[in-house]
Amino acid sequence: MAQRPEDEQTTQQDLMRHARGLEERNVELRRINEELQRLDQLKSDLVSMVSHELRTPLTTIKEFTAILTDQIAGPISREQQEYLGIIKGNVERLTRIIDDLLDLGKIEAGRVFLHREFVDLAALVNTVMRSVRPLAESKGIQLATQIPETLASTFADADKIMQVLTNLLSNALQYTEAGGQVTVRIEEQANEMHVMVEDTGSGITQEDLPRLFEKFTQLARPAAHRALRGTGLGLAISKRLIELHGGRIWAESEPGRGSRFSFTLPVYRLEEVFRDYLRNGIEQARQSQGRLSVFLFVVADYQNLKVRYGVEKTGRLLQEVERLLESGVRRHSGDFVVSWQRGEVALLLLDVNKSEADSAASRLVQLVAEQEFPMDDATIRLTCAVASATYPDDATTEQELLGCLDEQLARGGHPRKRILVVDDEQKIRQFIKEALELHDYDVRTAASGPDALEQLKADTIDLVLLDLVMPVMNGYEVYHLLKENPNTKEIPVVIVTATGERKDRALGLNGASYNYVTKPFDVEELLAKVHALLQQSNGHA
Amino acid sequence: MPKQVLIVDDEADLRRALTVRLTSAGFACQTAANGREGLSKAQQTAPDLIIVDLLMPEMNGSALCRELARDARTATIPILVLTVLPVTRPGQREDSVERERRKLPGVARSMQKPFDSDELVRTVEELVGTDPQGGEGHGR
Repeated sequence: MAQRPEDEQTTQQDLMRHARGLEERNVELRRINEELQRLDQLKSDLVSMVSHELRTPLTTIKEFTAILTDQIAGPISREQQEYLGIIKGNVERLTRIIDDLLDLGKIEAGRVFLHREFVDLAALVNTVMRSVRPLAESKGIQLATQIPETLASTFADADKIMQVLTNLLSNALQYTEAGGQVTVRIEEQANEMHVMVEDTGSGITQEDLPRLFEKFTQLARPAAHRALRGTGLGLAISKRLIELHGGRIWAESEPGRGSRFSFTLPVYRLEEVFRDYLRNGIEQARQSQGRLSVFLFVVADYQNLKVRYGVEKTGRLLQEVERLLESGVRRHSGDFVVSWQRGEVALLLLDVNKSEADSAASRLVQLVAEQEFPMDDATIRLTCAVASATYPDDATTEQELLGCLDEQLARGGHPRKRILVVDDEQKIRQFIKEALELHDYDVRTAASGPDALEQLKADTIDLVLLDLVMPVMNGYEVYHLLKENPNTKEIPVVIVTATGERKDRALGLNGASYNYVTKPFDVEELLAKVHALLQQSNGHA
Repeated sequence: MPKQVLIVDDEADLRRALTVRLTSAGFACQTAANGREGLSKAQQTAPDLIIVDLLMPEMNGSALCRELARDARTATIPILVLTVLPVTRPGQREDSVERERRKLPGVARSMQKPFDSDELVRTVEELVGTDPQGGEGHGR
């Protein structure tokens, strides 16, 4: 469609004005956003500070009330006793409100992290039921559970789920009269677990239902029991805790008949669980400035084993490998082992650094290799490949760490680095070889420069340790031959010299930058250098 | 001879309350209003237990614990930390505050304010009783 020129011009001006307006609005929005974030931080600091400040006077009030009640300061009348009981109850209520405020503040500031593990939900429900039983009995309320005999274990933070359940149960007891019943039911559905707390209490009106999970909601229904009076925050906290777990929480009610509070917890696939666990572990390590290592063991020939022995037996075999690996590592409460039916076992170890991870990996591979696994009246041996990656040395996200593992395994499942030690003195060759092998390097040796060049032609070498002073061909000559050859020029080289042997400047070789280790050297120093160089060359690859 | 308890807390009212409570439970109490005063009293009188608040002016509770551990006269005295900061309850995972606190030398137990009076007395009896330096003591 044809447009007249002046129309076009107007449109363009309009657009420009519009764009400027948008730009300005964006700046304004950014400013508001920053301001909001600042306020949010301020609010969260304030909540935490005020909560702590309130605890001190509360402690004194509580303690002097108890001193009076216990008649340490002299006898008191029955009526005085009763009034002191009321003070005590209210002090406790204030304390609960402070606890809840702190909790909510922490959740809202994103400072609550779930410590998830496999949880037996049935056992957890029973624990909470036991803790509220005395109260239920004193009120004349019957407690019941309806839980399936077999229940998949859930992957959740047990403390937090317990907190939610306790909150829902206390509410149910609070609003149920004597002779009523409170029931906890669990149902397993396709992708989630349903937990329901049902009461036969007074119920909740339609208009109150949507406000239930908001902060400081006090409902227009009679609180049946003074000691149980809530803080107005319990359901708001529960909602956030369940949502942190990736679940939902809601309420249904029929006034006069009772209420049902339900929440769901997603049922996880193992790999998701593992990723989640890893993410959690990384977060913990980040906070404590610690480390974490993750391992992947791949059973060789697993597909063939499956064909030969069948899925079920091979599955059991894998579980044995899993158990073996589990028993072979130092156990932290946060460590985690999981196996996948494609013949892999993943392992997560907290507080394990890079060099510990390397030695653990080779130790565990050895452990598996030495084990005889019973299979069809005979025993078989397994070999497995291993890859390991450490936070924060190798990567800082769960995605990248797992990527490191895949990469290592793709490179032939052999993460061991091959080092060539070139020295004319047999004793030194041997000494360095042993030291490096202890740290799980694959070590070759060469007694002279030409010998080294031969081996470099024939084999893949990841790093060369080069003596400087050797007959026939000295270290510098070997170095420059390596660097001239496109096949070997990327290989990192460390030159080992005695003090005073360095002659690079005198020989006019100061153009190149050499990595030196000076004899007599410290083994730790040598290892650190080797490790650092291998890391660098990894990065380039 | 009653067991000696040194109470180090910057809140005068709470020092008073603790003194009344523990005296009635049969302990001999003395008090200090900050870490510095607490340290010198501990060094002079070598009590059987020291109750330490963490957030205090002059010298805070953490510094006090470290100083006490450094001095041979006070290094073996058990410490009960009473604080407004969160304390991990049994069966719960330790949070980072608690982990930091556990690194403090000499701390035998931590309780969060406000505390339960009976539990406090029980804990004090236990700590004084199981102290190897303290002889027979209360409790086990």
